[in-house]
Amino acid sequence: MNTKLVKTIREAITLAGLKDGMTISFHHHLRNGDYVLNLVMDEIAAMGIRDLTVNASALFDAHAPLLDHIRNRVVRKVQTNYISAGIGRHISAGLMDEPVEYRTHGGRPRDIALGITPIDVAFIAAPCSDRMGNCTGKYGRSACGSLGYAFPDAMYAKKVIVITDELAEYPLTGWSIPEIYVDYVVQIDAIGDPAGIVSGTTRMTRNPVALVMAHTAARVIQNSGLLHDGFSFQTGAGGATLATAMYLKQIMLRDQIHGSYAQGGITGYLVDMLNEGCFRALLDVQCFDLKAAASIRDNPNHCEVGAAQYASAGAKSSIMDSLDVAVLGATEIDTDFNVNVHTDSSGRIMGGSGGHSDAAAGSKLSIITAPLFRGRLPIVRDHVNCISTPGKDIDVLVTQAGIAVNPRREDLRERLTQAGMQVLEITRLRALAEQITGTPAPLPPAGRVIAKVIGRDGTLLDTIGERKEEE
Amino acid sequence: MGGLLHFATAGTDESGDVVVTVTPADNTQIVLHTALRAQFGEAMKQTVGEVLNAHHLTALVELYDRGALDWIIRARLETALARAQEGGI
Repeated sequence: MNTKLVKTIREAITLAGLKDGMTISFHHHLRNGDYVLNLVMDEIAAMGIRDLTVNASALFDAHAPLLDHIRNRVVRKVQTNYISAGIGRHISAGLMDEPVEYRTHGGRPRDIALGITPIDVAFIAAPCSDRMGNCTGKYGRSACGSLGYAFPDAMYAKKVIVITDELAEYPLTGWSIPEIYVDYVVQIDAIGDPAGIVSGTTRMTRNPVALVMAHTAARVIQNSGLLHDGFSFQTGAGGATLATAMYLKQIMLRDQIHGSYAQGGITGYLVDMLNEGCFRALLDVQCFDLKAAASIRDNPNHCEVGAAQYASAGAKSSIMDSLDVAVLGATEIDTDFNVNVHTDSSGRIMGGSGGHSDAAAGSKLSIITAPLFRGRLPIVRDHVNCISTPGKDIDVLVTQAGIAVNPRREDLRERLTQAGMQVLEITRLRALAEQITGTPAPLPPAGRVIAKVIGRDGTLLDTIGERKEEE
Repeated sequence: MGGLLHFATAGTDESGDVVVTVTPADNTQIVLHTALRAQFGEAMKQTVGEVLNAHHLTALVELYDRGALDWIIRARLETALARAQEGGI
């Protein structure tokens, strides 16, 4: 019987020919429950391979053992789209000699396809695979739904290793990644902790500030001229962005508006909107909860999309090109509408673009929901610590104290004003925030460059400087 | 100067609040425990100094800050100082 099954991760790494200085890749659908990146890195370290570049679509706190592999020079360079705070603060403190290369969810597949960031060996964590490497995230005890971010890795890496904890009989039907790309398959006991892979249910916020912002954001959409049959939509999984979907749903059901699709990371709330007729399809690059993971398996109108089709500016088109409205968050926004989602207000890494700047650039209307201040820190600033998404791609800022429209969108300001919505200058929102918080003193200058932020078109957008830990 | 009878505290460890402790001392000393030292450290010291001067008190004051706004710091400090001047604990 023909098979690509090998007994251990180490055997697969040896067969793939991994050597010092090569590039390996990982995807992040198992999120904070992922075991695979750590298992592979431990094996590589034990084999004595060094100076690798790790290209991971995102890094979570579960990947903290990677820090030791960086200290021990097993890993020399990191390319990613998102780094959670627990890892980010070590990078900010100067752990790496080479700067991290940040891309967007669309920039990563673009640069992989163009050969700008070639991958030698891709490791694909697959909740279900057959012996020839047909694999999917829809089945198995570690089911995570979409495997979209791993598509470019499978298609372009020189060697592809599928790691699974559920081996299906050949042929697995309903595969996401077909066998034509796969070199080796390894079965292990567990690829992840189901509790960390998807949340049981995505919680709708009850924070009154978030609800006020969400209600306002839904009214902006309603009055934008874009909310009619065929409407398409992207929003986030938390806080005010998800709550915007809640208010939007009420409007769409009341006015019997039949949208075309919702896209991006998918929550159970968007699944409800699909099932109630608000949208004809969901285009899903990442499932955030169990309801989404079940829906992508059972509902043919809930489609998996790969990273390039989701967001790549290098593809002939992506679904971003047909997107009407995106609702996005911000850790800071400045009076030129530049948005920071990479660093906290002390300049330390705690995130990354993900699909933020792709959705902002692609959508006809991009809305940032952000409170005037968090804790004592004003969110509307003169200058953001890091430009993650350029202000030219942001149309509206919604805060609990009012909205501001980018001067570039005078047409939109007129529409909203005519609909009876009060539009403020963004400088007014900054002043309102600082009346409450006081004006923060400027941060001391940052040290050497520890990360580069590369825009979705491949140009350098900004850099992030070293910030030593306090005390 | 001085003026405080004993150690006292006010505030909670919740996000957006601050725990203020005051200890009798002849010379004022201010110790900050905050993630916002760079942005608001000087403003916090100034606020503490203003409140102490207004009451003609000196003390060792420690702030365990969780992102409290200025008026919250003032209110917690006022309360801690009042408690530190009451009899008993």
